[in-house]
Amino acid sequence: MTDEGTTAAEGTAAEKEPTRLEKAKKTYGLVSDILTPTRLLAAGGALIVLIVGLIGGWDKVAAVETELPVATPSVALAAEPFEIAVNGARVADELKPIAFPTDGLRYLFVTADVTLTGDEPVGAGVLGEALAIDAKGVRASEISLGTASIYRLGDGLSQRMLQPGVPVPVVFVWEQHTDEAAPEQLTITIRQHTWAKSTMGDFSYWQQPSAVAELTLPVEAVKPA
Amino acid sequence: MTRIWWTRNRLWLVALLPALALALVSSAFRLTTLYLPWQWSKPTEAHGPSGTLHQRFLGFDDKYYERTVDVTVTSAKPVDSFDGAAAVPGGTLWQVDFEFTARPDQLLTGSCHVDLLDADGVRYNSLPGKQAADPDSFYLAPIVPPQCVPEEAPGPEVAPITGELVPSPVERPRTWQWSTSVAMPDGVTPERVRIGWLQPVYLELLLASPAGSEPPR
Amino acid sequence: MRFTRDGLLTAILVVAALFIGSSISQQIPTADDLFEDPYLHAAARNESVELRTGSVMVTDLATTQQLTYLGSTAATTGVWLVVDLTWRSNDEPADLPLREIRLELADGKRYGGLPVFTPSCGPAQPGLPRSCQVPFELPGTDLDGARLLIPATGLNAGDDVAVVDLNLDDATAARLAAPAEQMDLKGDQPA
Repeated sequence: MTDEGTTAAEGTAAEKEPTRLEKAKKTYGLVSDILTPTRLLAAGGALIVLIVGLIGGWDKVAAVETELPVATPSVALAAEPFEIAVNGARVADELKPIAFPTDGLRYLFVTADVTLTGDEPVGAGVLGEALAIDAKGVRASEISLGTASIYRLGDGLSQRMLQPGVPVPVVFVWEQHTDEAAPEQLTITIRQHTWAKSTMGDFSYWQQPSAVAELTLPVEAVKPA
Repeated sequence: MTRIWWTRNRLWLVALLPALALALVSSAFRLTTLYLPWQWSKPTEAHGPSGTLHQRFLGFDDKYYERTVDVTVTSAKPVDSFDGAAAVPGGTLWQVDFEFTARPDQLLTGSCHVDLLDADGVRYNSLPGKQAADPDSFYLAPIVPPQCVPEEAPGPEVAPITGELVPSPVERPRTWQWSTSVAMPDGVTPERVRIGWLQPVYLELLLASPAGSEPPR
Repeated sequence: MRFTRDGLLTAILVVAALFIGSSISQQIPTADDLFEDPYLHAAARNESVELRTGSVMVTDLATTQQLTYLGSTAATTGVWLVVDLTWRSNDEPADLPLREIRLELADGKRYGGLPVFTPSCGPAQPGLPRSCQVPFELPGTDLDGARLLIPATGLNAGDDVAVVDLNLDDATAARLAAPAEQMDLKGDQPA
């Protein structure tokens, strides 16, 4: 490293053409007192917001309305954790031994064949939520659970825990105030559940019923024998 | 840490140990408070056949009451049947007689829980192990133990649903007798009896050597 | 910000260490995971198993198409299996929670929870055992590789659970494959 060497290098540099970066820097230098980096960024942001608006990015999002598939009567449909085949609908003032005449109430029945798919027994309360009907003035028959009561058609007994892989013909029971007219047809929504953790404790259960299909059946009026 | 450091900080160092102890205690959670008051966890041991039970408790009207009662176990003997019940096969029914002394205003209604204990500390309750004494009859075990106050003169009570203090139809005598029965397996003799009205307080009495019990050879 | 080679290397090493540490700690079970684990006790049929509250023994098995209890008859599209148990309390009267018992078949599916009738077992006075029956509604009679899970309180309650391998011999399997037409479910009674 001698003085002669460094001077020679400097001399060479001064004779080179300015690079493109140097030219760009020089051009920017002309406007940099007005167009500071901060103002450039802000302008760029505003431009992006404007363009997004022009292509509809800020428009209100409409709720997606999909139509529910229509289920076929007596055909099994997957409605986790069950497979449900809805057979028929009936209305009556009583159906002994599962429904007794009560002042001001009539009963709506939906018969179905239900099989629990899955590996563990599931309570009838979950099944009670798997079907919903559109009749007015209906209250849940199982007051403690808030869902329809489930009875076994084979023996008339109240269904408690359902067992994996055992098909059970059942009847769902709802109570309706006699102030409302007895329905002539019922739209039955079949729902599936999700196995999820509870927000209240460290346990999981079948919850959040969501519709998977619906079907409309004529309601047969049954007179007591 | 030099000598100067030790000398300068001696007061804080002395305070450190109690501070650590307090920190440990304050962060400890006494889980036992969650379940012990609902178990029979506060005994009064009488070391004899007589004792006094004293309890402060919350009534159905959300008011605090106190009860004090002297209890003596007067006898425990095997019987064939008691109140229509006999022990199941393999068991012997023991009748246990008590004498109570209490002021007539003491609240002593509600189930009287009675357990017999054997030499190993195994607890035998008055409800299980029974069947109808008459083979043609039907025996339904009660869900809760019966009261140990006289039926016609039970003393004042706080009604469960209304929370009202209901006076006794007839004033309860200061002293009265009451009996119950416990089914125990054949060949086991009771040594102690426990009696209580409401968890966690109970009285433990020693049985005098029970009459008519011969351990089988 | 100045990007030096050393700085960049440090950043990469820190991120790698965090990633490895996080993966390892995810593999280790937490207290919550273990808190409810059962204490399993294996046993065979006709062998008494000690649980915290008492001891239980699985004795007989029977299958039927119709099950009667307290005047009601239950039918099924599958088959009813009735399991006989003997229950003894330990130091104080206790019951055996029949509702919590599960029958696990070879394919891992579990059955139980008292689908129709609700018999009980106990409380048994210490020294005075009870004999009880618990019913199961099954899709079929194949019990090859089946086992019974009998808990003191619950299957995931951090408590004792007896695991009884049914281990059926050919004669029993053949008997169970031909269910009776009807059978009475016995309530809990002295053993």
